[in-house]
Amino acid sequence: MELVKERLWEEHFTEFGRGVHMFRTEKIQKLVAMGIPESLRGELWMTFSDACSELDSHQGYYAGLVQKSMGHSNLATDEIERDLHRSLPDHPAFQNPTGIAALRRVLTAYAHRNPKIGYCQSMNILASVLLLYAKEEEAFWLLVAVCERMLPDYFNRRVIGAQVDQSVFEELIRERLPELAEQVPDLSTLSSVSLSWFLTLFLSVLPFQSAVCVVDCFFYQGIKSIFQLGLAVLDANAAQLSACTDDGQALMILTRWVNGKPQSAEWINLGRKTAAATPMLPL
Amino acid sequence: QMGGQNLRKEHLYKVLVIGDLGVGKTSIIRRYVHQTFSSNYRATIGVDFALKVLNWDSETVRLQLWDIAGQERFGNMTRVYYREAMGAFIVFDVTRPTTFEAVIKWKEDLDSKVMLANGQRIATVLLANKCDQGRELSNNGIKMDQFCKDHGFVGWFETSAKDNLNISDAANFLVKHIMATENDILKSVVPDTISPQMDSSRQMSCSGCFK
Repeated sequence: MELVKERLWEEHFTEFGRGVHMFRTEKIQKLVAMGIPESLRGELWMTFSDACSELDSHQGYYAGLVQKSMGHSNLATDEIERDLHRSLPDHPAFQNPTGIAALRRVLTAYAHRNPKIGYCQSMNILASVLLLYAKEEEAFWLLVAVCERMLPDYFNRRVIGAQVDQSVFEELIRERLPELAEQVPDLSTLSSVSLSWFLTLFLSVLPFQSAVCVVDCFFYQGIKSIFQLGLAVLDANAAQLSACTDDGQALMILTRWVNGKPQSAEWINLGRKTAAATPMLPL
Repeated sequence: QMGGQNLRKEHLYKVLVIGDLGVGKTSIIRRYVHQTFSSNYRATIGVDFALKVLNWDSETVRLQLWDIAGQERFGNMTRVYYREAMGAFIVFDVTRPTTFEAVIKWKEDLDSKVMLANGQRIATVLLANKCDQGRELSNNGIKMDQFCKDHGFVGWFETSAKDNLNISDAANFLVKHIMATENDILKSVVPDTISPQMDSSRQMSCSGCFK
C-alpha cells in the first residue's frame, strides 16, 4: 500500500511539479485523504505549510536561536522539562536521550523566539510528531507555521484562539447536527471535550497511526479538517450523546469510542464522508 | 445485576482532580482506577476522565473522576469542568514547594466557581503526592492540619501513586464527606417539599399557598 501511494505521488510530482511550485490539484486532496506515505510525509508537510520557504529564507536562524536559548531557566523551560518525557511516551524515539534532547531544543528555541506564547502544553505533542517525520530544523519551522499561521493565538497565554474555535465548533454543531443540538441544549461540555482535539490535532486522543493521517489532512486543509472530523465524531455518537443524563457520561462515550477505533482507514473514511457532506463549511 | 440486586441505591458523584502541572494527577487516577503506574503518562491536555465504582455498604457509588490539565493558561476554562462537582482532590508534589504554594490558588479558583446546592463549599481533600521521593511531611503534620483548617480542606493525605500509598484511603475519606454533605442537603430540602404526610392539623387558607 505504501508503495502504491508513493508511486501515485511520484506520478503527481511528474505531472504537476514538486515543492513550492507544485500545483494544488483536486487529486492531491484524494492522495492526502489516503494518508501520505511515511517517506514523503515530512516533505509534503513542509510544502503544504510553506515552512520550506521560511527555512530557505532564514538560513542559520534556528542554530543561532538554539545557541541563545539553551542553558537559561525560566517558567517555560521548567514546564518544557516536565513535559519532555510526557509527549509521546510510547514511541521509541522519545525513550532515549537523543530524541528528548531534540524535542527540548525545538521547544526551548520556540519559546525564546515567541515570548507571547512561550510554551503551551500540547506543543510538546505536536513537536514530537513533527520531529518523527522532519529534520530538527524543519520541525522547528513546521512548529512556527502551526503556532503562528495555521492555528493563530491557539497557544498564547490565554489560549484564546482555541477558545474561539470551541465557540465556532458549538455553532457548527447547531448548524450541521441540529437534532443533536436540540437534544443537548447546553453544548459547552461537548465543545470543552473537543479542546484537546483542536490543540493536539487529535494526536492526544486517537491511536497514533490514525492521528498522523489527521495531521496530513490538517497540513493540507488547515483547521477545517479538524472541525469536520470533530463533527463526524459527534455525528457517529449522536444517538448515545442525546440519551446522556450528565456531562461525565457524554465524556465517557466519546473517550471510549475514540479509543476503540484503531483503524486509520476508518477515520479517513469518516473524515471523507463528512467532508463530502459539508463542502460549504464557511471556513 | 440480577433480580433483587437492582434495588441497591446508586450514588453518582463528580470528583475533580486539580493541581499544578506534573504533580501526578493522572498517575493518582490511573493507580486508583486501573491499579497501574507508569512514570511517563502523556501530559493531560484539557480534561481526561475515569470512572470508579465502589461498593459502599449496601449501596453503589460511582465516582466520575475529572482529571484537569494543570498549566496556568488553561485556568480560565475550568468553570465548565467544575460544574456540578461534589468533591475535589487538590494535589501537590512534595518535592516541589511551588506546587504547594499553588494549592491556595487552586482552592480559591474552585470555591469561586462551584458550590453545593445549599451554598456550601464542596468537600476538598489535599493530597501531598510523590511522598515516596523522600520528603517526609509527617513531622509537619500539625502544620498541615492547621493549613487544612485555615483553607477549608476536609483533610489531607500523603500519597504515592508509585507505591500505591493512601490513595484509596483518601478517596474513601472524600466519599464519606460527600455523602455526609449530600445528606445535609437532602435534609435541608425536605421542609420545602410537599409530601402526603404533611401536618393534617394545619389549616390551609388557600389551596395555592402552603406558607
